Amino acid sequence: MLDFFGRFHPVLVHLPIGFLLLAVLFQWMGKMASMAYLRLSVPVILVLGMISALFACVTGLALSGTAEYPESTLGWHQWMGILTTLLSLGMFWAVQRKLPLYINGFGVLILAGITVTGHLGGTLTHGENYLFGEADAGPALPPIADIQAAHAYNDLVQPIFEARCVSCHGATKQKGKLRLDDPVHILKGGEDGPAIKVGDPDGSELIRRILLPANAKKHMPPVGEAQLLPHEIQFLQWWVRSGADFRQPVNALPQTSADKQMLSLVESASQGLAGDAAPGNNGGTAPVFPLTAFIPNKEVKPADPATVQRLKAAGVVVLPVSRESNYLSVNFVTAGDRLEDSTLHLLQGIREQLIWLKIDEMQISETGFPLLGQLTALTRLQLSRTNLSDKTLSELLSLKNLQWLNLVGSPVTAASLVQLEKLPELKQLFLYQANISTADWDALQKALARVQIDTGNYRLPLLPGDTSLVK
Amino acid sequence: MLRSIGSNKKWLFIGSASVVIAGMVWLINVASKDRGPLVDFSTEVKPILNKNCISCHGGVTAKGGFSVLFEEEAFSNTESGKPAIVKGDPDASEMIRRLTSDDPEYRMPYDHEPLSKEEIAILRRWIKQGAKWGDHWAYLPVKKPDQQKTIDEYIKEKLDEQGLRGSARADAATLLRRVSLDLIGLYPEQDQIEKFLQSGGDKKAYEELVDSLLASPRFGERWASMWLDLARYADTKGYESDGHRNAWPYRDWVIRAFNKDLPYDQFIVEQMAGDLLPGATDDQYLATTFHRNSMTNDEGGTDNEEFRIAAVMDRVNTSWEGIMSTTFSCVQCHSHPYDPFKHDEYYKFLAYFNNTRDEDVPNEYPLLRQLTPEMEKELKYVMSWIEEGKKRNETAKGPGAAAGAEDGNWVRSLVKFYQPAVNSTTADDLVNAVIGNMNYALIFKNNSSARFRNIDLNGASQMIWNFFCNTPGGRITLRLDSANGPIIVRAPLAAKDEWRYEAIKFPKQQGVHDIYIQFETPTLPSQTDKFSIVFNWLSFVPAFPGEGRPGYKTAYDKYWSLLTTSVPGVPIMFENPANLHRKTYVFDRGNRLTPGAEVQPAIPAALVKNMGMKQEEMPSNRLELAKWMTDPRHPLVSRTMVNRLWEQLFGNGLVETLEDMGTQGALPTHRELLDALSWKFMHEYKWSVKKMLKEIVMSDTYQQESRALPGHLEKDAANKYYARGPRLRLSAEQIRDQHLQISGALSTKMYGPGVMPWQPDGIWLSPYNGSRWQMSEGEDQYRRAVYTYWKRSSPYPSMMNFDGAQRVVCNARRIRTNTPLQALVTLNDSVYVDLARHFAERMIKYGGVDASQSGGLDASKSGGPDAIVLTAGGGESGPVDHLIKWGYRQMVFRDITNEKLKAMTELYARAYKEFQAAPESALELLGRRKDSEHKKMKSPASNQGLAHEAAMMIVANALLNLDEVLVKN
Amino acid sequence: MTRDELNAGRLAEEARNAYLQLKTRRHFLKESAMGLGALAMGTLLGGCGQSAIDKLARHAANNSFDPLQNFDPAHPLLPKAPPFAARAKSVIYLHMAGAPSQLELFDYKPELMKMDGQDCPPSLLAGKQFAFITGVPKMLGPQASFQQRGQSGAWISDHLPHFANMADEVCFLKAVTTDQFNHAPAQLLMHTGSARLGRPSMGSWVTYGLGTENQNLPGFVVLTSGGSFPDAGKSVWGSGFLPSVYQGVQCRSEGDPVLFIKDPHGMSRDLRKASIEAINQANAAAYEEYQDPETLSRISQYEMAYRMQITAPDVMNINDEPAYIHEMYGTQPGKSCFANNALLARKLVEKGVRYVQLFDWGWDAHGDHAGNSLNLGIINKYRSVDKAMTALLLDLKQRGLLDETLVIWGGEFGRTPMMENRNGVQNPYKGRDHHTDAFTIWMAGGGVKKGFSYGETDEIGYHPISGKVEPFDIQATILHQLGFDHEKFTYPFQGRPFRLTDISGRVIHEILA
Repeated sequence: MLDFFGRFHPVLVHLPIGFLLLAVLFQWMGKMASMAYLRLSVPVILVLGMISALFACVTGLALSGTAEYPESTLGWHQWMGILTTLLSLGMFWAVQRKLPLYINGFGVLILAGITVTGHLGGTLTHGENYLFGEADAGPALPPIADIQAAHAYNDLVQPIFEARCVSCHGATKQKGKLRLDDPVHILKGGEDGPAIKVGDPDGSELIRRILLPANAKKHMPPVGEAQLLPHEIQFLQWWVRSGADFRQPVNALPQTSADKQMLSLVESASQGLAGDAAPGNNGGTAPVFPLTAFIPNKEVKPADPATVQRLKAAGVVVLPVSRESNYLSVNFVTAGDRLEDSTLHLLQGIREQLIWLKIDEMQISETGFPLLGQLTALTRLQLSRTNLSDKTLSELLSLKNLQWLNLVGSPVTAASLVQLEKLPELKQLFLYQANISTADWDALQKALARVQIDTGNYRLPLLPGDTSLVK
Repeated sequence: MLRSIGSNKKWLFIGSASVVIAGMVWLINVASKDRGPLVDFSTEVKPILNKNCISCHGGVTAKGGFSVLFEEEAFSNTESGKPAIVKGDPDASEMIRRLTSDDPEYRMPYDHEPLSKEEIAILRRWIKQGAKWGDHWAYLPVKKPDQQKTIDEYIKEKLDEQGLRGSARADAATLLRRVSLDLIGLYPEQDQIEKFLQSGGDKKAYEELVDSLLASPRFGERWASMWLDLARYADTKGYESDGHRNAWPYRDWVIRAFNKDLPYDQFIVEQMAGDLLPGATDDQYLATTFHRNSMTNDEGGTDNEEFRIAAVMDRVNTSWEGIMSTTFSCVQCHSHPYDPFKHDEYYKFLAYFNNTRDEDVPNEYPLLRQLTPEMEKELKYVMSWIEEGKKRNETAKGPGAAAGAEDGNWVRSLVKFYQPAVNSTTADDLVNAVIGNMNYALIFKNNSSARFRNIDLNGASQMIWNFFCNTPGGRITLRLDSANGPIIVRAPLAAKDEWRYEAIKFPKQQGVHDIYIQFETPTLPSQTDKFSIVFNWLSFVPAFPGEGRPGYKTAYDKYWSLLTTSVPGVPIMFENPANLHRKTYVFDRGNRLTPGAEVQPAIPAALVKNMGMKQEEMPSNRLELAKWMTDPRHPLVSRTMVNRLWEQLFGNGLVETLEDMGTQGALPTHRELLDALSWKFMHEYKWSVKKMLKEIVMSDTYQQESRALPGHLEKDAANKYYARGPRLRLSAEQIRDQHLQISGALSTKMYGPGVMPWQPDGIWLSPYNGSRWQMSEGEDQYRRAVYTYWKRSSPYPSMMNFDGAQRVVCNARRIRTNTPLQALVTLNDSVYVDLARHFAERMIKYGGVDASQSGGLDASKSGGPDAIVLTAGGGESGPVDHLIKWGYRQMVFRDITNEKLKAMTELYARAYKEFQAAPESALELLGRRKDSEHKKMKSPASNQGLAHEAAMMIVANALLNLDEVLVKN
Repeated sequence: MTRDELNAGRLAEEARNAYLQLKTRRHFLKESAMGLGALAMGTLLGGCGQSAIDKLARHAANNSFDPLQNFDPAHPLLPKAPPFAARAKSVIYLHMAGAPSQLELFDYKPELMKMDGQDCPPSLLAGKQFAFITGVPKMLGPQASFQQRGQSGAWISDHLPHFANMADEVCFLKAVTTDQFNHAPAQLLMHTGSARLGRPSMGSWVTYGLGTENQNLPGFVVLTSGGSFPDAGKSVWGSGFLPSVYQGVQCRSEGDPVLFIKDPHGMSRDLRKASIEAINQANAAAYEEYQDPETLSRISQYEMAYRMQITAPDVMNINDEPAYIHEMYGTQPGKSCFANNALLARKLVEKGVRYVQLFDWGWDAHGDHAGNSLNLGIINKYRSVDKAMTALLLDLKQRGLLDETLVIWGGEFGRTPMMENRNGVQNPYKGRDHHTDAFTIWMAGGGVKKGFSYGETDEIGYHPISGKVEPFDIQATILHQLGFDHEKFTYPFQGRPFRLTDISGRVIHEILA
């Protein structure tokens, strides 16, 4: 019941705001003889304002009981709201008594009240700094060709400080008496003592502040400022741990294998490569495509539950790619050996959410493939051991987001496979037991230069050890 | 004109203004108060504290000097110098400020989700209302209920609160099946079934039925299977090779105990400390196997002490979880974060268990040797001979004179338990000697020496030892207190290719000493890797009394053969003598390698306080501990058992979490009822389990129909208010037993070693363990589940599929699941296929007349074997209906509905057709050898017979898989 | 709200939907479709948005892994989405029970060769406890010759000629350490997070968290070879305090592939189908009588059982695989050997099994007899796995499965650089005792780096000098790849939320791609 009323708060609040602003406005415009008539309506408007304000308060109180809001902000919002209502009462009284001084006084206060209350309300619903959004953090580092050769301080530490800190801790401004624009000052530290404790990142105020939760009071850089990127922080930690050296190149400083790893990440990051999601060489010798790389960044609305139900009833496994996401993966592993068009039509109902699709050992009708072609959100598609043919392959060319395609055991030939170049995002292609010969290889390679192709058919030699025992 | 408007609008304005004013007054009033009903600490506040605060602010880890574990801590000054909770003033309370701050550095719980608005509101209200603390209900003694109320009255109160209404009494058939399966895990005797059904199941007949069930020997078997989960009873040791353990006599003890309704307090005392009871009987020793069911590890290279301690901890945890519904195990690493138990209190409690003789040795000493009746007679003779001598001696030299010398009590103890004795694995100060694989035996090479510490030599004049030595020419020497201390005895040692017992006699010694045993032989090089002696155990005892007296030789020989005849032994608890007493230390973070302060036996202070015990009441040993547990003031023991009995009958405990009634456990659904019953259990029923069970099954609540009426599922799906009777899938044991009985294959043979019913090959593959699953012969294949051999590392698969417990540690609650693998068991497991075969045979044999008239299992009205041919022809003909009707009646005592009958007869028809076409697969199904039937197969009639039998078997298999059969209604 | 209530509530909800279907269905068993079971389950987890349970799910996602919505006694094995985006869908864990020697396979120590035959320096023995070594043992040099392999230049010994070519596919953890020096406890620690019996195994945690994707197969399959179970027995795939339905299902290459999966002799598949339909018709009638939702789930369980009877034996049967696949793995059809199990593992993962656990027994290289000596019996162990595990990686790779399947290979601890002298007596053959401080395991696929090596040991492979990881870290990492936060993935037991990683564990981010 309570929360039911509560829901009206967001709507109701706007009435008193409107009314009261109007009242004050008319009151002052009425000062002009030509508009004196406006004043007549002021009391009425005020009453309306008061009453709507009253409702706003009541509903607000109800709402506060139903959801989690930061207590203190909520408290302020509540009392400011009540105060403003009282002010309107005051102004009403003053208007009745015709006391210009008070009238104006209350007028000003009401404006103030509305502004503050409104802002607090906004903060509650839209969160902190909904007014001034976060400054976007561009990369702090220029591209670095070979990080091991780079100079630890000049080429890395200083650029990071320049980009993230010096605006407040530099020659012009020295918040907290701290300067980070040259070694001397860095070592000197600020009013809270030295900024870095050589060899001990966790003990260094500078690192500690950076690592505090973003909305902590002492967090650096402050809310709204450009924040350090993860690899920048990791680098600074290593730099402090390795002795906060200002002279030497990176490779002259102690590194564990983990550090080496981190450094190469910084390098590739500075070149605008890599990052967790994107595939690429992360220290290992070959590129790796983690599943997470196949989930689009932009959100999507939940799929239609009814459709999902019907699919499940048909024995199709439908699962979100994670509980945090509305994107869906679909697997036909328990759905028999014929893929009915009816089921494929069902899939259209979730085409926005459907990004991973697995169809193995199933027969699909001629009319079925075009339907597959319409599932344009797909990033991963497995059509292994199906009746996909050269003829039907073209139906897939509409899958513009497809990055991973598994055609294992499908009777398709190189002739038609070359069309796959039309898939702009395609990164991996599996053709084991597809209908291709080594002769086709070059053509495929050329056509699909960007794509990593695996034609499988690996063999292992038979070695003496495989078939004999030592006695 | 203006004015006139002004005058009446004035009232309008004033009116509205006053409305607003009034409104504001109310508003401010509401906004500024924490109004609401009185908060209950233990049900509303404590859970919030436990969930969110206590991990950092509980006892040991009192961050910022603030702890919400104990009352005094919660309100005392924190590091800030002020208390965090100011009674009556939430806003002044740092606690609330912290909870509601929006600075993550400051806001609590630190680095976690903030508390919900509701939770904070409760805490505010609680503080506003004066922050009253309260003890957790389950740790306060059970109080006498103010007025006598019946179970049904308690239940009705809650039902009314929920706006639910109880259901009607279930029909006779349902009641019969429900109460029988619950009380004896089987159906009663045929005549009882007849009698009850004919009576229409009226109250009187029902009570008679209940009484007869409680009196049935099957009762003990059913309730034993419950207890054995708690006792983590198994027939093997647990780790790695998971070798056999001769523990079945304990299982039989439990069955007998339930059958003779051994009062629960006595039941507990004997299992916890039967060995310490004055003049303990063999049975009471047997009871203590309860705590020898803990696992042992014989793996090569393991540290015996490590696993001895693991076992002792397991005993502590089992005592608490199984008997006192408290999760004490957390306390072994740190003070209990939620319940008022401190870290060191775990080890004080552990001290009660830390002085038993068992040392994780492969032979599982100490044992209660299972002497045969003849041997018992012999022992009696020996002891009375000694006794007589003692008397004579006293009359001669005056009472008590030289009693020590003539005292022969050790003889009895040595024969029965191989005690007093030390395990050779405890030797140290080794020269040219090793402890084999670090853990199984002391092994000598040549010129070897080893020390045994603190041996009680008072009156001792011989060493009796068990060992192996096939190295000739050896000489063994015993020295006192040092490797070159005074020699007690030096004796030649013959070589033999067998394990043997010998007595090495020496002059009578006094005092407690270290003993050095040394060995050298010229037949081995002085430095060698060859082993000369393998020790097992050594015992230092006085001379066998009465030397020179007539009959000495006879007595001595009898005694010696008793000692050396090999008989199986059951692991039991046996307290250390003073000279081998172990000290107990607190283990930092539960790690035995970092011992802290030494502690003396004691029970947790919180319970001492709540039970209002005086210091002198503090138990000093295991026996007194057991007495303490069964003290009527003890808040947990009676509640735990009553709750468990309730759960066995209704599927859910009054406290759902049987393993934990503590503050982290579920809240009781009917606390008053639980307390009332617990009180009755102790004071009225004097701990009689049978009386307690009777009260519950006699209640209307228990006898309700289990049909879910409209509204039931919506209002109370879990049936925790008992608006309907229980409807639950049977336990693993119940299913096996019931199916055995329905199919007429059940053997009611009781007791004895675990049996091995059919099990697929390749289930047992323990390393270093050749033992195989040997399928039992004859009726042993059809024994009740409780007798099935239980191997911890590979438990009987079909039982595990039905949520059986692995029995490696105390298992306080089985969680009922429902999976395809269960269906596969009752459909395809050869055991159940075989039972279907038996069931089919019975249906054919006895079902040949209209089942609706037949009372049931009665053979007299049988249609006789010729019924086969009679029914075979028609396939779906009437007679088959009779068979199915009859069979169905055997299972649930009611008539089959047409819908079900139709399903089954159609199945029959289909099967019949198939088998008539393929007689050989019929033979295969029926498990008959083809050749023997070969001739018959020529004749169409016999093919029909075969097809009929096979088809009936298919039907039987289906019947035994019906929902109604797998659940109790 | 207790677990039971919630589930009961859910059952009730389920009942309503399912019953409608029940009414309208003529035939209970559709071989191709999930049938009533699925319908009944339709209202359950794995869906997106809506129901009360999903709210709980979302709540769970940011609080802890809430058992309320993860355990449903009626359908405990429903497929569920991981709390966080996963990098691996399946795990294949190859455990060499008995603990292979890092010093003969991956951890190349020329220094140790120099010390061969010398008395062990006392510094190495001080305060150490060994399983068998007593007194002063001799040092034992590597019983293998090593080469650097592939671009990554990882050292792999000649004992694994096939696997040597996989250097650039796998990721080595070379400084794994444990605190248990006996097989059973160490294996338990590795797979259950505790050295004592009674905790759930990793596979059962995963099954509890994710259910099983292919409802016609178990979600957690165990395959053993080497003639014996691992020393810790079935507890290493047991469900501990989790409901026993989550225990590993052992699949065998002899007898029933899954226990009780085969119909009784003489009973045809059609007849089985007919009998299950008869049972379910009767049960449907029973539901009409008692309105017990449990009855509906029983109906669906019987349908599943039937489909499992059809599916499982197929998947378990390796005979249909082409000859060259058999050659690649080096299988011995009809036997129970590691190669067969490796091939089975691939087939199972292909069909949506989440967690496949292989145990190969017989790696305990003590040298107290020829069969377990480093240069006799153990060499045959190398040969018995080398080809098969290599084939497994390649086969997964060519089917596009490797990137979504995390393969782990290792033992429960390492071997000492000293030669074992059991009971103070020099062992007759070359052998090493149990060693807890440092050993090597490798991982492949499932979002870990390729051709990467993490952690280093000292010059004789005795102690880690960098990148030390514990079993808890490996468990945390495996859970992380499957989409779990190991600190939030808990089950309430004995009054506290239990974790696989107990109170420790760190995701080894260094090895993640």
